[in-house]
Amino acid sequence: MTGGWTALRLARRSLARGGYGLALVYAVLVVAAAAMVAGPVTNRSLMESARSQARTMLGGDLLLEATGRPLDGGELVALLPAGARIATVAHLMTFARTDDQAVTVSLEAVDADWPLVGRLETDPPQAASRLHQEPVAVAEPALLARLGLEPGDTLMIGPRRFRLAGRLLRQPDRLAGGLALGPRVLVARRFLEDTPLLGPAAFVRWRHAVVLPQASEPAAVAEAIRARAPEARFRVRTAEELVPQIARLGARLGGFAALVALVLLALGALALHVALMALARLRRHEVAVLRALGAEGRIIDRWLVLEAVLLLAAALGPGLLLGVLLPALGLSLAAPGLPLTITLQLRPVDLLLPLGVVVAVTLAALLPPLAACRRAAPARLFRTLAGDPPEAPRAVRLAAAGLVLTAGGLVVATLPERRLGLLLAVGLMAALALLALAGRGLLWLAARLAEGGGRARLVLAARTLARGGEGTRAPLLALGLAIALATTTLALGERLRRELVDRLPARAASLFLMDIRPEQRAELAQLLARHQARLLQEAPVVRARVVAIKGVPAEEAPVADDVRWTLQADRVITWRREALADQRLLAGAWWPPDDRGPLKVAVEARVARGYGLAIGDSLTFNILGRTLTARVAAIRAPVDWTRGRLDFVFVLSPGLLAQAPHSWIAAVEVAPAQEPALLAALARQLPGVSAVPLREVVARVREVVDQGARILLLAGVLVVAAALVVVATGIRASEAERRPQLLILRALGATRGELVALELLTFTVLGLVAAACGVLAGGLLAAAIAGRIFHLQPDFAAWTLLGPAVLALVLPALAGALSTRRLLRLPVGRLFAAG
Amino acid sequence: MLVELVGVGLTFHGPAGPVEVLRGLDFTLEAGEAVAVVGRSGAGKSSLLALMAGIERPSCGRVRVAGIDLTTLDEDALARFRRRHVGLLFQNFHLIAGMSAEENVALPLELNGHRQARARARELLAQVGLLHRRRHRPAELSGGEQQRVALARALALDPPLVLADEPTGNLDEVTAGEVLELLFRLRAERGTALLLVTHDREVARRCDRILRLERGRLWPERQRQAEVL
Ligand SMILES: Nc1ncnc2c1ncn2[C@@H]1O[C@H](COP(=O)(O)OP(=O)(O)OP(=O)(O)O)[C@@H](O)[C@H]1O
Ligand SMILES: [Mg+2]
Repeated sequence: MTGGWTALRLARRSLARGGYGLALVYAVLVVAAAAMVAGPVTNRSLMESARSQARTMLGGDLLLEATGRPLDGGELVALLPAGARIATVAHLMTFARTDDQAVTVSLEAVDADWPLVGRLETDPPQAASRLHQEPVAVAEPALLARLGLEPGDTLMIGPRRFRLAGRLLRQPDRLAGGLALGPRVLVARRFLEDTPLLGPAAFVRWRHAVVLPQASEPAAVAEAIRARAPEARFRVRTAEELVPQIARLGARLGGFAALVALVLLALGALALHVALMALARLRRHEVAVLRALGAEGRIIDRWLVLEAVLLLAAALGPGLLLGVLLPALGLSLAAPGLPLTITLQLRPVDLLLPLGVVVAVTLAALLPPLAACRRAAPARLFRTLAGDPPEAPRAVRLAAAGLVLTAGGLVVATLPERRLGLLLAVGLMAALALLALAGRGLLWLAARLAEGGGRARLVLAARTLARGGEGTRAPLLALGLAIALATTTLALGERLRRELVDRLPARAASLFLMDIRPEQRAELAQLLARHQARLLQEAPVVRARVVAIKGVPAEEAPVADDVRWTLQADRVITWRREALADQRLLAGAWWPPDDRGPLKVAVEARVARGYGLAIGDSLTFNILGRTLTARVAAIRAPVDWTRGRLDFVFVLSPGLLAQAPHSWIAAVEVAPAQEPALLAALARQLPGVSAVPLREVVARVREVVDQGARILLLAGVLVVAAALVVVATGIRASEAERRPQLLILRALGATRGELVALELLTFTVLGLVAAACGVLAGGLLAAAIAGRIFHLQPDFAAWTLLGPAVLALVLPALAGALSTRRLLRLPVGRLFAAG
Repeated sequence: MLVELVGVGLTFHGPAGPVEVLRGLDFTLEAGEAVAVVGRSGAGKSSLLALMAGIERPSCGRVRVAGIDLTTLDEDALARFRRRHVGLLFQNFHLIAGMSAEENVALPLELNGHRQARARARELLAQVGLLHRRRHRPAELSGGEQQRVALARALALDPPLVLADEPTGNLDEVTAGEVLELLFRLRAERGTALLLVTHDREVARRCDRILRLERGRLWPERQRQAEVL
């Protein structure tokens, strides 16, 4: 086994010698490996935690939700198997106020049995148990801060006075209540009984959490309930049904993360390949010498393979560690803000698969250079060593391609968004083909130019490029691919960011007021005037739910994903005699102002498309327990939700509805300083009216969006940095080849300035071609992903396309010029040196 | 007979067409003998050395070294043959740039599974007078010092044959003289046979025989030398 030891010694020695210039390449590989591992680990942790906590999040095995009126005891007993335990929560938006201030809060009025699952956490802990003994409340710290309260102080909710018993730290089922539009306040329901807050006119969401007896199967019970009451005014959910929703969210987020991880991996492998090809050129001498000294092929193979394995381990070890540590760190940092407790889940499959992919891709990058230098013939030692660049045997190149394809296939097969992987794979291949073609074209053109004569400097540059052969094509391929991937990530990331930000109203009203009884409108107008507030808009509304589309029950109707949200809960719908002044109709016509005919509806364009509605189709609503069918009379231009005004997906003809009991909503603008006083006055004088603090909601959403934007930006920066490493590595790798020509030209009397100009010209031409191909391929890929995966128009920000192009032009030229300067510092005497 | 070439022909087939370098060449070398080969540039001197080292294969004819027919061996067998029987010296030294002098010399020993490779390498470096430079890389050594390290490497496994391709071609006269002095002294101590390609008549004269490579064959050079004298 002397061969093995010798090989090991050789590998260790050549590794210890370093000089690879691979530090940056490693950084990219480590980050790529980390990203590959971090994605699935995070996803798994999220999913498993969601699954194990779904029951807690829902509040029980089943959740029955109704709006307006709770299910009474009789109804519940009829629906549920014997032995089921029930806890009821009333959720409403209302005011919590002191004498002179008010804040909109999310009020949870709970039963004594609540929570059936999980535990309410308060500070001090005993506050939770006091809830049902006396009229006390616990509230999220934000409310205390806003109203300047301390535990022990009192606050008013509706007509009742509560003493603040402590801070609300964690409510187990806080996801079930939906998005809270203000600080949460928890009280016992019995202290609000017989107040208008829970009265029939109020908008209360009732949640009946149910824990079933051991023997019953939640899914079966839910099915039975749905079958028994198909058009019920309540909704049934099971804990299992909660998980797919989280899974969808995870898949979306995971999709982009996986994209970034793959791009990083591709760039890392590319940089590694470029660096190692250059190394192979140097290493060939070593191999030739060893051969001449009598080393068998076996030893050389072992040495090179060992070196490859050690190189791999050096990059993958930290990558794997980082890949596990990052999610752990991220989760622990994000924990306080998350609705569920996420514990890190490490499954071998989640680690092995990405690791296998990284190993395969890295090996594919390693093998050809190693195989190429393995072929170095000692006969060269008798002559000069410069000459044709190393080329791996066809079998090795095929094996490398096979490895990449297998790895790619594996990734695509296991991606949460499979189509994303497929698109990326196809896009990468197309980009490669385009670049290969451009490389050939460039070489051909350069050869023609070099022969044609003309401006001397141009000819010299052309000849440099033409003679470069593989040395020209390989950097072009690497640079072009890096630019393409950077373009894709940047363009897509910025597009996603804009999508998020654009959803936010740019100049919104300060407040939306809801549940205004018709007879309160006059008083509201006075009140607003007194606080220098302006009424921007108002509209009459009823709450309604779409129960059938073209006669097909809503649950069974084929509805596009992006508008499904319109079916998920009660919506407010309005009616209007005349179209608004700036209303654009895409199809149909508005009804005459005094229309008395059958009910008609104008539908927003996106929803109409998502439902597959055309003029004349029927749409059935459940309004206040009654089922009403309307004909689609008009399709309205898409609503621009970003304008922050009141608008509606469905606008009905007045007819029947104007007589129905309804309330009004209003958009109001008020100076921030006036807001608390206005809210306090509202709470005192117009009981029942609730206010959505829009400004605050927007601020909170913007925070989340900004966080997301930062992550997208970080991904873009990482990818661009990786692309830079590829460029820098490529240029560094080319130094060995460029050195002799530069030295000779200098010996022949070329000035430094002339040489720098020559090199600049060469690199600029390379950059130009790479930029053109890269941005084209990357942009098209981004457009394809945006359209097919994220359902977005591909109107990318110009800078995301031009940025990488400029980078492709400037960076190689810059790095090239620097590298040329470094080379020019070498004494010409080097020419006469040995070796 | 240490080396025996019979009817050897060598033709390179490059993309630009065939180049016939050697044709019907016969040659023998006795153990311990020193032979100089001279000839014009491009005559095929380096190719001849490569043939004897089993680095090139002849297009026709037979190459026997130490009783082994090289034409019958595969690549690995040729490698083992080189290790045991041949030491090589090049005009450009061809030390491995990333390794110290000591590591370079230890290389053939390690390839052969020698247990005390490093210690033996130090002995060899001492013999060429470079023990104090053992930690230095080739780039930190002068041309003459590099060639002395290469000489230590070539002799590390005590081969019966040393093939040297213009070993002093890159050195100044004084340094060349020192290196040759060393080469011939060590050869004499060990009884190593030497085939030396050189342009330098003075160097050639130190050998037992001088041969000229011309038109693909080796021709004796004694007469002319005598004429000159
Ligand atoms: N791989 C090859 N393909 C084609 N021709 C080759 C190849 N290797 C060597 N030659 C040619 O073979 C001939 C002999 O080359 P060789 O290097 O042996 O000459 P040489 O006598 O050592 O010359 P010098 O004194 O300049 O070193 C030359 O004409 C050379 O061009
Ligand atoms: Mg030669």
